[in-house]
Amino acid sequence: MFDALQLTRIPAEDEALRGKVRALIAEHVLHRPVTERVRSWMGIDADFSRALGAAGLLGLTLPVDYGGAGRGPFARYVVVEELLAAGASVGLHWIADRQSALVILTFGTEAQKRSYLPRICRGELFFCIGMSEPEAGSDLASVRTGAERTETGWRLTGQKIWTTAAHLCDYAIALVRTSGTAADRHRGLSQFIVDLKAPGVTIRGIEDATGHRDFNELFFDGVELAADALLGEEGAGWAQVNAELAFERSGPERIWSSAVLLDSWIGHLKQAGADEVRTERVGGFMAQLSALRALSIAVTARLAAGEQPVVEASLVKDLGTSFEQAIPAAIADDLGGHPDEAVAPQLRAALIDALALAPAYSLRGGTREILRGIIARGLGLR
Amino acid sequence: MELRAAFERLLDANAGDALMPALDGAGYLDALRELPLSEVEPLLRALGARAVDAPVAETMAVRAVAAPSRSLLAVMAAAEMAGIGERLLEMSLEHANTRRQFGKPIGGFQAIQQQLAVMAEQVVLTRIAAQSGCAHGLEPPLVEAAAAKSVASSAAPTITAIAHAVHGAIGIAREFPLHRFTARLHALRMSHGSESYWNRTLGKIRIEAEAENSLDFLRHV
Repeated sequence: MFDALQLTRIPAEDEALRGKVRALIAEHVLHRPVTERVRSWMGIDADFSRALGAAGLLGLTLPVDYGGAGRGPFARYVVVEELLAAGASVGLHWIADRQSALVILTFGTEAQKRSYLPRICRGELFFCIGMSEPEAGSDLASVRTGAERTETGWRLTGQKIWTTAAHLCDYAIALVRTSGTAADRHRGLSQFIVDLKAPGVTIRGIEDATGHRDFNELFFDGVELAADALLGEEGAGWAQVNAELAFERSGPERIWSSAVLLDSWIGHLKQAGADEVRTERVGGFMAQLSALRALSIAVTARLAAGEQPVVEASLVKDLGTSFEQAIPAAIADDLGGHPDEAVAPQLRAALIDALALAPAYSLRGGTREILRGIIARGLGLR
Repeated sequence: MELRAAFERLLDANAGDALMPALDGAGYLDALRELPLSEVEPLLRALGARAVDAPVAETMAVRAVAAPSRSLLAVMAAAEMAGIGERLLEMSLEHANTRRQFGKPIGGFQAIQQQLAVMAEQVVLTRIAAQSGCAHGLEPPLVEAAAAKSVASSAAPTITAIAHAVHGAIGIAREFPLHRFTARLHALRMSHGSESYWNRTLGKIRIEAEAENSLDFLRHV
């Protein structure tokens, strides 16, 4: 069962990338407070995104011809795990690098590839996701945002929500209905590259529980799109968005979200002392992380073999996010269990933020229940 | 693959007291003297998949190194546990697809599907942890051994609980084979250090380590 997930070693030429990433991390990340680093891929740092681009560390899997590094998924794995384990603010380029660029590469026209991909690789062009709507979350096929043909292209009307970093991004790749009605479900959907600066686009922020503005609502009020805003084939949006979700779910980022908090807490234990209970907790997390990392690398090997390991990636994501969520919960008990011990305000603040954000780990990119449904179908259950 | 298939034929042909002499005669008890642990690991899973409770792994270890370390015995136990988990998952899927209630196979209900998904996750996690533990020869690094056996032992209660939940009452009937596999998994969970033992071992190493972060720590095992 799931025999494709085999213990794999990261190739030496990809391991060799670590030095370059770590140098950038030392320069841009390590001096930042834990409260900032704990936000990991929700953190924003435009300078750092551009520095990664300048160092050739974005678009690693894209062809050299389009400004990429022409390398394989293992190269991206190494760079991404170094960034996330250190808590680098990667939110601005994250979506473009992880999925938008690959969707454009896979389904875009030659002109679209030439236009967008080199700038994504340089860290100059940022994308956000245009999937969820107020009435379409897990049931993504029920999107109501629509595009109708005009003489020059398309007119876009509707609304998207939970769009991370939209207010800082240049484009969204939106899933919209181009024919039929909601009853047609998977038929009649298409993807568009939407310029967020275009007239008729309104972006309204949604503050999250920690007081940060990551989420946005996007309103499209008769936005005029040129014909070349259509991405891929008209009516093929459902297949394309599922390919995009496969890119979204296959990355290694689903095990590292609480790593900075975990390490900060371990730093606290070094000072405050660790009794048997604490030591046992640390060991349990390290054991789980070790196995999850091995699974993440095994998924990367399937990507490197040219497969779309949808079920395997779902399995690792569900395990990984459960692990990420267990960490803040355990640390809260641990610190609360030592009420007379001094705790650095930074650690306490980072913990409170992590507790508030952790529920999102098993929502974003597909809820736990949706993922388990995918796994069950992979097991042959109907 | 061929090695495992031949080994499995021997396991299936020899029950009870005949098993150890048969394995010895065919040279399998000396497997670790001739093959790397990573290549013996599939044989250990084959033992698990049959809930063999003869001391095959321990005998292999003793024949290869006079006084095998707890780490070596632990990673070998983890591999057997992975094999049990794989078999329990197969049995549970088979049962879910054939047992009918409310007019359809119980595997058609989301409540059962979601539990089996969780079970599959824990089985796959156990397997990769065991393979990691078995990737370093006859002297597994303490961190690798700890991670392997901790993960396998932590997964055991979840795997057995879901297997029994899916099977219903028949699962604890003596005539039905399920309990042999879950009992063996419970036994191996305790053998050569359960999760709390290995978590204490691993936690101490991590807390005392100079590593920059946890990624750095895991990479330099």
